[in-house]
Amino acid sequence: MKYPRRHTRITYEGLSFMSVLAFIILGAIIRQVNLLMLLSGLMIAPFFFNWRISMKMLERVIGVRRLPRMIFAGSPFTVGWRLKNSRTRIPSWGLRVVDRIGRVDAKYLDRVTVLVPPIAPAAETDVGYQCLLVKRGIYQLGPAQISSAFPVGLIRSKIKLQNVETFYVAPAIGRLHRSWDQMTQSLSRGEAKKQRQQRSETGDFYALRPWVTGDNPRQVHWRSSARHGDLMVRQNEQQQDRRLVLILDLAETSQAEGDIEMTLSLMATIFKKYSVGRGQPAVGVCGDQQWVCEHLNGIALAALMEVLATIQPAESNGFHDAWESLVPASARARSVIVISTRSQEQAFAEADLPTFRGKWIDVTREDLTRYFQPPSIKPGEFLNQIAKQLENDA
Amino acid sequence: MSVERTLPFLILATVALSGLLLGMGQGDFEPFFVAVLGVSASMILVDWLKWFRLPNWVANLLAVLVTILTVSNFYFTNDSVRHLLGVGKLLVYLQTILTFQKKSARVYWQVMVLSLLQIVVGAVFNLGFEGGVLFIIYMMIAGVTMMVLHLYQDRQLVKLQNEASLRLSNSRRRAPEYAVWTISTKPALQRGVLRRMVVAFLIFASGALFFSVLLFYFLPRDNTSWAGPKEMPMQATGFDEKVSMNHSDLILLSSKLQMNVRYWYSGDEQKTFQPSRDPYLRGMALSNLEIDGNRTKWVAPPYQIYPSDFRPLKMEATDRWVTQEIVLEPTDDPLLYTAMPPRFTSVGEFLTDYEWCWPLGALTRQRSAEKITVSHFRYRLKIPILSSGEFFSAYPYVARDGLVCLTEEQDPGNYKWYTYLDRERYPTLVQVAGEIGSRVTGNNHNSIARQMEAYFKSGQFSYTLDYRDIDRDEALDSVEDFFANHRSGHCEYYASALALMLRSQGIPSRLVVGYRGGDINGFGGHLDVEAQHAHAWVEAYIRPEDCSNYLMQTGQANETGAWLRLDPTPSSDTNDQVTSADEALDFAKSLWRDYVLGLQADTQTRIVSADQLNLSGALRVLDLDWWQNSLGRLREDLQEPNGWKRYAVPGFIIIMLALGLVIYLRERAVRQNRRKKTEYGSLRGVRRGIARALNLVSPKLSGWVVREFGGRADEVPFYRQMLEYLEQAGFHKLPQQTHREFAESVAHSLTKNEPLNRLGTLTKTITDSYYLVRFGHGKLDDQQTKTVEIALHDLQELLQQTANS
Repeated sequence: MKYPRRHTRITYEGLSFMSVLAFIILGAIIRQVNLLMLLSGLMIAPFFFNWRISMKMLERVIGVRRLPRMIFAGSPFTVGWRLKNSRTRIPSWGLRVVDRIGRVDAKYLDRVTVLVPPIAPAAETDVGYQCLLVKRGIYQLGPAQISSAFPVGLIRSKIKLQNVETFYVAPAIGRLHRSWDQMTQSLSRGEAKKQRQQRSETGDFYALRPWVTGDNPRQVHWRSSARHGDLMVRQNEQQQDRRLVLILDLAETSQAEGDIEMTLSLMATIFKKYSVGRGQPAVGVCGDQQWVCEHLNGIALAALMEVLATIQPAESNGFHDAWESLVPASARARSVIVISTRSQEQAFAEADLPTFRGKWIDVTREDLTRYFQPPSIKPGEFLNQIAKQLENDA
Repeated sequence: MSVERTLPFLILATVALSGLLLGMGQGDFEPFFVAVLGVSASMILVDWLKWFRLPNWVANLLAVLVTILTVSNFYFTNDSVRHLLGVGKLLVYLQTILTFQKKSARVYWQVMVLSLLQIVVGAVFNLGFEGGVLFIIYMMIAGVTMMVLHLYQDRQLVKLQNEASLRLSNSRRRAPEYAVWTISTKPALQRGVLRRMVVAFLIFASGALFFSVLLFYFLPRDNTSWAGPKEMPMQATGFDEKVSMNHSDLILLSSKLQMNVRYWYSGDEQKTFQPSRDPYLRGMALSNLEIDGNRTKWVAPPYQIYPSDFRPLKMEATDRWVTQEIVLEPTDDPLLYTAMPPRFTSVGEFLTDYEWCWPLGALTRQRSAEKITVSHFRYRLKIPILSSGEFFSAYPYVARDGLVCLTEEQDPGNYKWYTYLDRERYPTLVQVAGEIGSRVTGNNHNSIARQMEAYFKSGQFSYTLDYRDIDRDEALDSVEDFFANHRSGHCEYYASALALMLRSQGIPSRLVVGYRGGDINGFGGHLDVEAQHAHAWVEAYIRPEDCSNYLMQTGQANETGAWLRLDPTPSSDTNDQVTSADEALDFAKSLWRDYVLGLQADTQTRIVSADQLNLSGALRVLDLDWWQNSLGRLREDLQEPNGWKRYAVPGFIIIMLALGLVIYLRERAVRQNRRKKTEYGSLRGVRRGIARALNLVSPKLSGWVVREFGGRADEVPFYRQMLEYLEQAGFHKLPQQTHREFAESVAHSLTKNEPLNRLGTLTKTITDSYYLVRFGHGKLDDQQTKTVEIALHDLQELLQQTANS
């Protein structure tokens, strides 16, 4: 394995130490002061050994950064570092990881320093730092460096890691109120009732799928259920898909400017909620980026959150394509919820208003706090909490 | 104990030690007390009670004021010693001011630097053995302090970072975009780490010590080592020694080391000479008898000493002689001690900055040196010995004004001087002296003197330093009382009495003070002469006609007579038992003095052979003399018309310069390449152009050019082509992205545009082929090449379509 090249730098302390040393050596040699010669020898030695030892401390040391899969604005997360000392005899002392963090387009990145406890030979250790990002967007971590000035801090050796990572920070997650559940449940109930009436037992077998409320218990495939540990039902071709369709329509309108972040926050909250349950909804996101997904599962959620991290309203946001794709005429009976920055009339200005079973939420007219409690992001409180916690631990 | 709690105590220890060392060097312990009290007060008031602390500006102002006050004093005196004292104190004051500020790693570091500078000033003043031990302890504590300070600094960094993050997050002025908190990691030591750390520290300390010792002994030196800056006027010291017979009750013995004496047979330093009797290390003669009440006093001549009174030592041919090396403990006294009679060892062999002061009968440091350094003083002399292995008991009389004897006829002035006596004060003494004199036939002064000496050793007298149980007659002169009544006393009484007895018989005599013998040091093979070895004896002038043939033949007397040494003091048992611990301590002191403080070129050559010194060529760069000599020789060689060096040296220099230039340019190019990873140099641009041109004809050939001529990683032509297409469409590969990451990001972006969904597949296809070529060192087969070409074509077409739409 190829290890990064090590560099050396004289620290501030080292520079002042060197100045004094130069003064002493000069005095010792010019005036032949034996004690000063001895002193200079005793001072050069730490300098020399500091250089060698600090270099040694970084020999065959590797560090890997670890990030959570999804990061939401306002939710603290830990940036972890796993450091491994691959030497077999010498421990690593006094290591320090300096990471950089900031928005990807920022001119300067802030530095975060993490101290690493001593690592025994052929062992590894985990360290990290906690972070809270206020705004959604693309952020960058790194390039980082691992350094050591052990034992006396006169010379610092470091390895530069080219581990720049960009990561997406999704909109902040709030808390959905019961009113949202009630609204969606009423949509589902209506749908389920209709489908039960229309459901036919005939038709070719299409696939097995998880059981959802309203399914006919007779359709349960018990053998597969036993194998999966969850109820599975047979799905026939003729069976109507009655999953929820969620569409975010971010159109560029002057009225909605202030509501965009809250809308995105609501959507992120909804998407996160539905991605873990059954009946994965179909999702469409329309803005300056378009994203359509038939089944919002865990993997799709990560991609969706990346879109939400950077999406902005756009004039032509591909809403109609998404609508046609997710709510085709044949499936208009699906429960559709559209959260939009405009009215339905504005959205279908040049087309006939479609009839669909569902709800159109115009964020410029409707108060979103009816459905959810927006997150309260206070970094100071978060840091205070950590400080107190650490104080208590101490 | 946590780092935060340990560090102040370590700093206190460091500061105290440096203050102590500075105080020891300067002979003034004010800096020590100021430093210790200052730092202790700051620890209590600032760190512990948190009553107050100096704001930075106040501390800076105070520091400036103190500096101005100290420096302004420099203008009132040109004395460099005072300047150094001032600098030492200034360092302590600045250090104390610093400690009253808010403590940070930087403040602690500055305190450490000031402490180190105090050590420098202390070292300039030279430190004795005790100072040396403290110096080593200081270095060890300073090393530990630096290690702890380094840990403290790291912790402070994290703490400050956390505080800054918290401050920013709570700021109402600007909403922060993010908040970061470093999780403080407790030093959870894994198994075996602490043990290894201790071992590593010991190795580190040993290595540092070994390295510094090596450097110390290999650093080139000239002939004289620094002896310290303290200087004092010569006239002010050294000549007020006197012997006063006062009535002390008890005289305590002092074991304070005065000097080390070593003898060896001349020409062979390894062949130590052990005198068969205790050597008499003569200091000076006290020939002036004074009366002070009922006390007899012996003092040096009170009249002015003229420069002409100082004469260089003679260099005389002697058959048997030994070299005497004496190292005096630091003193500003110009008086030197020696066995008699001293001679040069040889011209130019060693320092010859001493001479003989005739009126005092004393060897002194050379008068031409107006000031004398307060430091160890080492000198070597040639001392003649007898065939029996003893030093001379007499030495030839040399008159002040030429070849005259010290007799009433030839030199009445001095004769009167050396025989002065108030006979009324010492009736018993004079009477007994007369009796002894009368017993000797022919008035032979030599015989009379020896019989008088023997009189004191006949058992009638006892040696004592304790007068508490002795009844003394205060009405009598102390010497007469000693001689006539109690007959107990120390060497000064005996010597005074004998000198007076000799004078009463018309024999010129004088009291001599110096040292007799010493403790043999089993480790160093030298004599440790301490204060308790101080001694007084008598020198009696023996007329030439009274000098025995033996004295004449052995060179102890000459035609003008001789000074005969007489020691009437009976032996005593007062010397303390010398333990091996004392010897070891004395030996360690002498090692410190000889091999550390006083290490000079000749000692260094003895320790490190000349070859080894030559090997230390790298260290020669520090020797200014070496540079001067080498350059001088080189200049001479170059000026020599037929010398080969005339051409070889410039040629060598040119080659080396050219080589250096090539290495520099190469390094520069490498560095630039590294810096401009993503940019194209001119050469690379040309190669890229060629590769692209060839790509039109044959992609294989183009790939071969790129591979064989070390093209950049992304110069695989089809990949480069893809990058260009994508760049035109607004996709830029970030430097930190790998090729596959870039492809994935493009694919991911493209999937958001449904019509362009297919392009994700294309970029992935091209990138996979690129990895195969670039990292797999593989060649694309025809089918793969075709696929890549199609993919590139499709990519270009689709991107154009998108742009048009």
